[in-house]
Amino acid sequence: MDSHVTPQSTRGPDFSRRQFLRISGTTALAMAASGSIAGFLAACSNPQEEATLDLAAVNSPSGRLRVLGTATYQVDAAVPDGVDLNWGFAGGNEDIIARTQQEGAYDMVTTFHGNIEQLALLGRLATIDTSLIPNWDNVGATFRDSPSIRRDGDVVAIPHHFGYTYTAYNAAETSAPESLSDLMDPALTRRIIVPDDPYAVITTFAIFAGAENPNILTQAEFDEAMGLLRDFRPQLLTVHPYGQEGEIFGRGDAWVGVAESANTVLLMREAGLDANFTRLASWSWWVGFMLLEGAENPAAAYAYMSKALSPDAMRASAQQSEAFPVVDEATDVIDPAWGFTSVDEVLAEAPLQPGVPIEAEGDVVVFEDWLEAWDEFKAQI
Amino acid sequence: MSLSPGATAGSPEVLVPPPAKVRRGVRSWVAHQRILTVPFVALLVATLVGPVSVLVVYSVLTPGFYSVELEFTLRNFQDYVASPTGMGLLGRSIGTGLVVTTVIVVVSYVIAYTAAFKLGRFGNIILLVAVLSTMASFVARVSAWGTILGTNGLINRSLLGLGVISEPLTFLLFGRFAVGVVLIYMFLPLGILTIYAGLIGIDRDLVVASRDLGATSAQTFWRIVFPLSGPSVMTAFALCFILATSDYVTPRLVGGLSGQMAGATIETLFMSMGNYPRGAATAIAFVGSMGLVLAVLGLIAKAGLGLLPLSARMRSRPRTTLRSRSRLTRTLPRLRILETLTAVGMVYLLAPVVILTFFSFNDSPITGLPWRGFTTRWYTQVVNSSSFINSLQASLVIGSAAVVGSVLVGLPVALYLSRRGRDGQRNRLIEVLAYAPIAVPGVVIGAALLSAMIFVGVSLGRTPTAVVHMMLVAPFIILIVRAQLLGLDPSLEEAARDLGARKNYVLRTITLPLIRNSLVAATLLAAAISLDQLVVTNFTIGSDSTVPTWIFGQMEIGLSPSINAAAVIMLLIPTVLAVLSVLMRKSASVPQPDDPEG
Repeated sequence: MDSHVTPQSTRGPDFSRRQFLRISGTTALAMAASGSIAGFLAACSNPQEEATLDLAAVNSPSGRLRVLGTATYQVDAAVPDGVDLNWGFAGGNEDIIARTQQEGAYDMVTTFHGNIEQLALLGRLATIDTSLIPNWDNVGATFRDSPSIRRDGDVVAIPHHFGYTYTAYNAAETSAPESLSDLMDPALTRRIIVPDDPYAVITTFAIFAGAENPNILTQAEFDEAMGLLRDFRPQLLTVHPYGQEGEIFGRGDAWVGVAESANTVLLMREAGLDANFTRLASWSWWVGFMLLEGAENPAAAYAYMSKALSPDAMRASAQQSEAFPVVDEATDVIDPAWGFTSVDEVLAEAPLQPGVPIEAEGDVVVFEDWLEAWDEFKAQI
Repeated sequence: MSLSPGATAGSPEVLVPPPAKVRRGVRSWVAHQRILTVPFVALLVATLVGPVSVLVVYSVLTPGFYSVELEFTLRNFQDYVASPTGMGLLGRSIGTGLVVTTVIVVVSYVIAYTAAFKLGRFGNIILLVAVLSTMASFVARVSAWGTILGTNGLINRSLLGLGVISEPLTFLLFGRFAVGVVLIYMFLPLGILTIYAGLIGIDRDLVVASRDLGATSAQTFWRIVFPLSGPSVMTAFALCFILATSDYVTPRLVGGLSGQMAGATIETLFMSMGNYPRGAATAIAFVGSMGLVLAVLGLIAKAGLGLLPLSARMRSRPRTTLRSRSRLTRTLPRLRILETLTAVGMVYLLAPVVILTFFSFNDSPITGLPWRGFTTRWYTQVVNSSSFINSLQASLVIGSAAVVGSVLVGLPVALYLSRRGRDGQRNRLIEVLAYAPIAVPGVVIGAALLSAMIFVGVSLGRTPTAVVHMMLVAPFIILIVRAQLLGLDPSLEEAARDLGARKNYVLRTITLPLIRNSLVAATLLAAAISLDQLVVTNFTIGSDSTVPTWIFGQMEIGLSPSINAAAVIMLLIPTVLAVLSVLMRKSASVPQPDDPEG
């Protein structure tokens, strides 16, 4: 039988505070060190680090491919045989920058073109050798030759889809808005929504404000755009995360969506609404694949990019995302509702924007200021 | 037990706690074993204190672009304090948090009291409903509130149908009202479980004695039950206040432009702007403000408790006897209003789950109204999605590991705190640490962890995510179990020890069975939290995905009923497990003590 001794004191420190802290600290350090050792061993045993990358390797890919991107563009038809795809889901554009901090955590990202500048500045983008992408020539010349996919002459992004922003509206409740004045109609008070995307909304309001280059704004132009946005505030019901707009329209909470994109209108129609859209203050964007520095399986990444540019895979991703394909052969799947005629026609009516500068040049407002102004706008008491 | 000097027989004041020297139970032994807290503290140091300490250092450094420059500055704090928007949002968040938490605690108390004292063994059903209501996906449940509160939502349709209103009410959704309703809904289960754990430990004999001595039911409640449930009420208040105040996803989804809260600013600074120093300073100021509010409220509560009957406060470790339950049921007031309010509370908790289940069969691309016909295609789509199945597997593996791990590290801490909490202030550090994972906003924990993992060289993925989940859910195990332990009678353990049972045997056969209810409740809650954890997981899961991150990803395509279907599947798994567990417990025979020596 165990000796049963009544404690003499309620203090009873048979284990001092110092010992306690020391053991805690040592344990934590040990845990941390074990992580370091594990990482070191993993790095030492990585056989692909020194592997030569050539077309033969790209044509017979294997192993795990780790991609970070939105689910919008993930389709099975783009996965090459032999590749085990691990797709990490990004909830938004900013997710991409925050989550690619650990080199080697992902092989490739898919994101919109406005992120290129940030990722390049942070040294996260690897140069892409387009000769290792057999389907590279499938990409339309407008995108293949675009300066926006290059940095210092090197290709750093492979365009995949493009689209334009538009103003969606429920035709059963309101007529087509033709101007900002129409949108300011008192009948639309708290009936309009915009996405929670500073890039999309401020660009749109810079166009409303008459800015010549709505991404490269001087301080005065930026202030004017934000002033318009503040005046517009009473009209807004909410700023919504991408994906929520369908149910907001479906319930009848909102009648108009400004700076909407991709599948919003089609979702509204499928939900039984008399939905339509105008190209009021429209502008274009594109999304693409970017190979990351430290990618563990670049062969699989190249193979994926190439297969994603095949007409069949492109059709699948276009149908899922309702974004336009960059491969001309796949444009047959574009819903007639969009009135698509050609890439050039779209880009003429909704010009492709270059993205907001992230480093100050003269009087130009940088993206960080856009974000801060957007946050202030949303939080306005 | 002894009579207190000057006390008169016939009043509860006769009850005083036993002298410290006779408290010889296993928890007395546990109390001196600080080593029991080492695994939890080590876990916390590795996954929270260390990483967040880095951010604390960041808060006084100069921001670069997604980086930090080694130049000391206090500007990050100065900018935040000087910002009218920042201060306004802080005030709005704390104000909303206080209102929401007060409602949660009051409603939780009614429901928990009814479950503990009025419904007998059916009280467990209340707990099960509370826990299960949290199991379905957060995004899907919030979306279901849109179906209830929207312009053409169920409330407006009902009121229009009844002729109460002629135009839909537009203030219900996208504003502070919606934020309040949804935040209360989100954290009500936590309040119920925490308060229930405290109430269930109250000795029914005290209540019966009070009534036998002539006290009215109201006097019994205010002089006996309420003071004894004080610790659990304060715990529930603190937990819900912290979580409700720092939540930024709910305001974003239903708050419109007038319902935004401070957590969103922290998220923007970390995620969108990559301004870690300013984000860290904002987070520190935010957490500090919440701590200050809680400290002030704690002092007020202490002063309030000082006004309560001395007997109730001193009789802090009442006996738990089951034999008095039926008598208790007879003596407590038969106020049907409590049962009615509890039923309303259950409807409130279950309505979104019922709605999302219903609309998971809607043949429409959006998650709620309008109804477009019956279909099972969303289930087919989800079940055939290899990415969903992988995510489900990951969620279950991570959740299981997190729950088992958190019980292993949390239970000893709960045992330790339950004793030390009455004997002095030396466990204050452990107590503060137990709250830390809840007090620090998820986005701060996530950003800090990501930075630390990069620094240390730990690869992102399931294993680190499981460890981090363990840290995130352990506080719920600790605080809920401790709330019941504080109400248990140590003399039961003392009696066992006096009869020669060893400490481990007492722990296994006396203590653990007595805290079974709170342990089961805390474990289920931990599982629910882990299965629905998004914000931190998003940083640590790497190229893998869990169900919440999968749903988060699907949002980009558009919130479709496939999210409802996924939520129903997530709900079915714990429901089936819970039913199986009940069936197994029923079929199992009561184990006999095999070896009193342990």
